[in-house]
Amino acid sequence: MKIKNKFKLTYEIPTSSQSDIAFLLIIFFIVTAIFFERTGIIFRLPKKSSQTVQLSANEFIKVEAFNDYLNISGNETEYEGLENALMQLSRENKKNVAIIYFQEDLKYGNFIKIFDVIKKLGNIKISIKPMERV
Amino acid sequence: MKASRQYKINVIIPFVTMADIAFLLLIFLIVTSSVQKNPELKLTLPQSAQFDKIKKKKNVELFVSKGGEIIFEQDRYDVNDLISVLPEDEQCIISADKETDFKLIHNIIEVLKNNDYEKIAFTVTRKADISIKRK
Repeated sequence: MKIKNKFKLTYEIPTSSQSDIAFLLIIFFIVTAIFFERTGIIFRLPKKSSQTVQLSANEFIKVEAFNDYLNISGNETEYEGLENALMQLSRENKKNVAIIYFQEDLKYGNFIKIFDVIKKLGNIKISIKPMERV
Repeated sequence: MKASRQYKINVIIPFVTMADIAFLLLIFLIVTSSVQKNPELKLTLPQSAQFDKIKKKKNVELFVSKGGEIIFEQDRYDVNDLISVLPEDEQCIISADKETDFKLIHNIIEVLKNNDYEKIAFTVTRKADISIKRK
């Protein structure tokens, strides 16, 4: 007679460490997550059907934008001096329209600098036009 | 002599459900997290002291690289082709490199204007405002 082997191998997945694994994964997710908040300068576009308005030279602030400097209503200024120059002009003449003429190779970053200041000054409507070639 | 009471309340925190809670939290985090859809473009956004928060609703988003590539929904387009591709919407977000030619951005603005877009948001990074505040 053969003696039966009474050893039985039982296969079990260890569930006791499951919570540790889950918490470790949670900690990993929390640590690596980035709170993605986007910031931007928002502006409204005129409607397609809106009519163009003609303004005389003394009714708007003329800003000629170059990469190195700006020309504001005939006065040359650096980008750093833009805020003061525009503030002065809008206070003195109560102009709330600015027309930005940009040089063909003007960098987008420089436009944002101008736009930043205009937005800071408040209620100023802007028009953007490419500079006419001489 | 008064016999002392031998009742003891055993307070046990049920650790058995801990794994379930942890996995529920994990599933919540995975489901609610969003994957950033930015294409593989290295953009150096311009800085600005004036900015608004861009709301997380569905917006049309255009990426413009330093070299002038316009990317919309992972595909590259030319300015003239944008008219036919852009859906009808209210707001468009433009994320462009600060070294991009503004002429190209201006052309995009014209396209958006002709497609009856109401708002444009230029994405910027925050700049600490060090200028003197207006009185």
